[in-house]
Amino acid sequence: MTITLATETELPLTAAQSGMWYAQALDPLSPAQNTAECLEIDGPLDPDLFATALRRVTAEAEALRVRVADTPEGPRQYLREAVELPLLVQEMSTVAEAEAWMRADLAEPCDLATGPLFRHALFHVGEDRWLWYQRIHHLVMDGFGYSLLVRRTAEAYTALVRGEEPGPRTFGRLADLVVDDATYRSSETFAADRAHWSRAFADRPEAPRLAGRGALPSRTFHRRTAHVSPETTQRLRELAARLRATWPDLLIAAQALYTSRATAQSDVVLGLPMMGRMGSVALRVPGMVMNVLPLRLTVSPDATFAELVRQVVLGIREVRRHQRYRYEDIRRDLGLLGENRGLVGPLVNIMPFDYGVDFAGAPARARNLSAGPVDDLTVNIYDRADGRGLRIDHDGNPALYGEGELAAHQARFLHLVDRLADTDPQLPLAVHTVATPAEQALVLDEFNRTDRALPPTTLIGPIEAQAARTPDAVALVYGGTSLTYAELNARANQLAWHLQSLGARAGAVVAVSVPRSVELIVSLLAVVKAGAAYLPLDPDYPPQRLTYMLEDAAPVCAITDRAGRLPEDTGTPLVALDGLDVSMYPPVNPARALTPRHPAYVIYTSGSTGRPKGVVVPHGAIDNRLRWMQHEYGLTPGDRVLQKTPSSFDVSVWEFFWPLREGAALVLAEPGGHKDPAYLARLIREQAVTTCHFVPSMLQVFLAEPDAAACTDRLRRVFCSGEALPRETANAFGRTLPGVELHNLYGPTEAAVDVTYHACAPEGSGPVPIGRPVWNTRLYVLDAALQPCPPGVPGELYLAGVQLADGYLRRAELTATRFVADPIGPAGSRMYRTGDLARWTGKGEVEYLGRTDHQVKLRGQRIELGEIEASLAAQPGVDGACALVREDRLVGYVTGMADPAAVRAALARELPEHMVPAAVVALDVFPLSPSGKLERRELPDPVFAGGARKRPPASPREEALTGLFAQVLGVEEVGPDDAFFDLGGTSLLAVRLVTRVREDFGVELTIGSLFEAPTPAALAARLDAAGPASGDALDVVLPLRAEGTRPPLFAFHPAGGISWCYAGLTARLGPGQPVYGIQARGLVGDEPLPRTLQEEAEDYVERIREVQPQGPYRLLGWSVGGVLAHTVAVLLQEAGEEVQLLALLDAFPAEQWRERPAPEEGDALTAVLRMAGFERTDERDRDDVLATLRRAGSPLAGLSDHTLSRIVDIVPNHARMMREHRHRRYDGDLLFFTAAAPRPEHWLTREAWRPHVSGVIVNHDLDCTHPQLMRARHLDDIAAHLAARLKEFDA
Amino acid sequence: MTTQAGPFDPGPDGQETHLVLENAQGRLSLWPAWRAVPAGWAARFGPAPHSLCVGQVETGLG
Repeated sequence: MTITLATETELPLTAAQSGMWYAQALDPLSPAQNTAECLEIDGPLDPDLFATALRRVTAEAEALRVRVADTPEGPRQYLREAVELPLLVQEMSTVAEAEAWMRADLAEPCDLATGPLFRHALFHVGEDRWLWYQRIHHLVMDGFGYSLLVRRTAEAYTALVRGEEPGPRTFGRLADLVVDDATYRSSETFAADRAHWSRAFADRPEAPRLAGRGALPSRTFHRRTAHVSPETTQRLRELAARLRATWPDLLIAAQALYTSRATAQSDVVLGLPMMGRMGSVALRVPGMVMNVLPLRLTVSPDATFAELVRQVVLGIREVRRHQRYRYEDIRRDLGLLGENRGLVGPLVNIMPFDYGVDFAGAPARARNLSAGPVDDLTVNIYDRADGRGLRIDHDGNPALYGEGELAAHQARFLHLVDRLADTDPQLPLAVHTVATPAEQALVLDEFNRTDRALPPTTLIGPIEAQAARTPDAVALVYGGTSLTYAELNARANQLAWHLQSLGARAGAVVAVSVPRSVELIVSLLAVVKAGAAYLPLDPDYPPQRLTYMLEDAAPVCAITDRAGRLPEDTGTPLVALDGLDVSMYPPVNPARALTPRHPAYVIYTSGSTGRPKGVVVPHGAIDNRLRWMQHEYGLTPGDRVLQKTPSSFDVSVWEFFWPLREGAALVLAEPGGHKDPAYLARLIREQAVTTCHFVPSMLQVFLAEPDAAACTDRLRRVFCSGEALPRETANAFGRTLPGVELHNLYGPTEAAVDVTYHACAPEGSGPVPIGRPVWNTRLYVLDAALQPCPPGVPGELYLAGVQLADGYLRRAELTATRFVADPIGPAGSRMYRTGDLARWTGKGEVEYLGRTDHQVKLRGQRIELGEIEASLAAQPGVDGACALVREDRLVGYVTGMADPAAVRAALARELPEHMVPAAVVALDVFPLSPSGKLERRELPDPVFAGGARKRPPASPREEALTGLFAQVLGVEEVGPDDAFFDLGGTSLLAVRLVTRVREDFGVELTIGSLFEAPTPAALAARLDAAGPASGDALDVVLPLRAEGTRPPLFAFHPAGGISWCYAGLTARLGPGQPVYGIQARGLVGDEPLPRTLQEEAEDYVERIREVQPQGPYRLLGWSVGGVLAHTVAVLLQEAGEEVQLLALLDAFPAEQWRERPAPEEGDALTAVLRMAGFERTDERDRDDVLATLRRAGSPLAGLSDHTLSRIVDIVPNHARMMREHRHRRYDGDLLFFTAAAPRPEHWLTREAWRPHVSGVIVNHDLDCTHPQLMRARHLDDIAAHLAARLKEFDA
Repeated sequence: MTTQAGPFDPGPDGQETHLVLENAQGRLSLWPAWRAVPAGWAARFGPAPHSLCVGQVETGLG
């Protein structure tokens, strides 16, 4: 309730006051808006006269006599005629005691509605020594107001002491301020000011935050006070004069330089508190007028300090011209208020005036105690004429800065000011560092003390020595196979001699494209034994990329496991191990002229310009890395190391070679096994693996695997690298695998795998550091001027030392821009520019913070977005392209006429799987910022959604599964028939989903199951069928839905032999209708394929009778499945059974095909691709087809190589049998569905069934092609007709 | 993410922002013209625009 007393005058608030009022209203009990000052008065003082003077000033200064209350019309201030003077006069024995009292008083919140909003205290702290404390709420007073009050008080007191009447009142009235404010806000100046600020900050720059983040204002602040020495102050004044500037200009420039370097931003916006009274009536009014305005500066290392100071001078001139426009209004105009975003970083509050007052001759010195709320960091700089130089208070928001951090910022700032005062202002700013000398010694020397003398060995020498020491120890285990050191060494030697005969030697490159196997290890060893560097080529990579790498690296030869693995037209001689006889070569180590400087391996990484680049790593580099690793982790002959990383990823290098150098055993995972957590858990346990590696995202998945916890028996240590290790993953590791060490390693391929290491504590907190440097390695965190960043300050990470790669193969220009001169290390040395943002901790470890460029990591794999963009842009019909990562998924954006699905499919043929976008989104235009740059933030989220027509879930299980799909995929809604991989599912997400399904349904489910049943409906059907495991899904009888009381529907497979295609139909037929898929024999085992369709159908009849011994039978088939259904129906009828339903989906009888040529294997491949929804382009053989399926994340790709390979046999076998088949007559009607779109096989007609059917043919045309028949919208139609028919039977 | 140019990125069009350095082993390094040349390295080309420096390295310094 607000009561206006008769003696009060009501006034609105000025805009400046409103800002303060709202800030206080956010936290009414906060004392943060208390401002206070303490004047030390040296001399005799009469407390009574002082009180009289204060009463007089209070009577004159209206602002002191207001209280502020909220009303329905908004806040109002009420001006009282008079207030009781809140003055405490007290004896205090010490200054400290008085200061303690002041601090306590400052911490008291002020009640705005009652007032008074100020308080005085006068402490007598010694002979002729007084402290005058005054505290005023910021809503009514600013710093300039204080100076008016103090001067008037001194004047009044001095007059009173002299027995004179003080001069007449000089203050203006509060109402003048209100009117002045209103006038300004309706003026043209206001509009012009507004336009000025909106223009200057139209691009809404990021506020530079020394703490790396913002925070809400706290109720208190930390303050740290220091002084610039009188000498430095003097030099600053002189320098300012030479630069035609003032010393405050220099200090603002210094703060801009410091802020720029400490935040790694060149665009720096500082906050400048301005008194806001230029030429206005407010100059005579003590009150709240001040404003904070943004000063925007560009700080670049090539500019000179003189130029920066000039920018400041001109910038302030500009700010002054528009200084009445309120900061809050600028933020509102820019739309920053709603986002709770600031515009300015640190405030620099210059107080260049001294009061210079005395109290009847007693001199007084003012000291600010609180200048108001501290949002982030405020640097208050006072020039007090007491000969002590400048005083500098660093005020920090405690939510952002600890005392130590504040002290560090202050020490560096003072050091920088000192250096600037002493340095030629015409030198580039790059000569300055913001680290203090002590900090430089710490980050450059102390943290990098890694020198270690090592023998000049190679990658292979220690392995050969080990083989000689322990020839009979187990070196290698793969499945049931194991090799001793002697055996492995001998095999590798014989191959090495052979390779030497083909030109392999020190300095040459030999490519190796062999899937994970014993042969892979033999090949790698052989290459290095021959003296050459090995170039791993992932057999799963698209042919186009393999061709590029072979042509780029020009190896002397390429080893493959069998012919056809690699493109044959690159001119590289191929060595196929399959059938290669090297028995004529001696099993002894070959001679070679190899030194540590020769290359050991070449590994390709993504290139930003669209071309991958080969990193050449010398033996000395990787030897140092492995020697350090052995020293740090001490592998013993009893250790068993898991090899599961693809050879094209450099983590595999230590997996391959470290154990073999130390007498330990190498345990190989199956190809593809590295993606299956259940398999890995089993392998680790069964093979007693002690040491292994995980990319953090895969570790997360592995820990969620129920069997992972059982790995603690023998597992001793796990290494993580490849991407940032989240603390939660590290802690989950500690809980799941107690007692097992977890080590976080970091390094790019360009520096021999890893250069830093950190042992994770079981229950740590905060970011997991990437750690400290390995032997003979230096880490530099450098700012934009290539100067060292102090601990805590982010900069780019540079690496130096013996582990650096030679550079990029045949890419001199790229090498010269990434491996650059080291300005800190030994003369002539190089450093590698990682592009990673990092900072030192105070303890000498490095924390990874992100990237400086557009390189991203997805599941540990380096991807240059530039390379994806180049591939997108190269597709026909694409005008513009952009790629980015959204929630762990790669998304491509294109403009132009291209069909996004076709673009994605094309990329799947060109790029490795991990580089294919999960979605490609077509845009009309790219969103641009006002400055014309692409606004990545504004790009729409990809819609991972299925068909436009979604049906509601048909069962509780479907409902639960659609929910799980949505959660795991991070999309809003998933329909029961939306396929996981079409919605942006990745193999990692698949693992997560399977884990969740296992948890929620208590059903054992493998990843394979998801590939087989990729929609919620299909998965539900599978779970309903009591969850057959992956292997069972390939049995002859596949229970798509086992429960239900009605006679089951048997659905016969199409040409490929698999009937999962009926999962969608099953879901649509609803619960109660059991459905069994009938599938071809031989998908799993090595059973011979049937010779005739009749033989096949007879087999199926027996299987069907096992499920349903007696009729009535319901049969359905698509394509070849229709022909089979017809044949089975005839057989059943001939056996005296009733066949209720025979439904054929676009199936045509044998004689329609007989005269047409049978397809060859090539056509079978086309058929397989079609099964997966692809048109065939340049896939030449089975492997190409398999690779395409895998890259595209096709469910079929989840099948084993064996099964896929069998499908390629089954398809032509069916084509042959179909042509040879003779139909008998079915007694009954035919329900037929025709894919009615025009087709190349125009001769096909359902009328051809007439002779084979006694009843009528009831046909339904569907507007689609033959393959499209199984798509959701057509299945809806088919299911509707089928259900209607079945209902008739059930009735 | 700030998109400011780093020490080894191209500068504003046409500005002579970089050098090409060479060390005793014949290794080449791009280098910002505003930073002192590190010990053990000598400027072999520039100051010149970034693209010219890169081009020099590509074609090999005479």
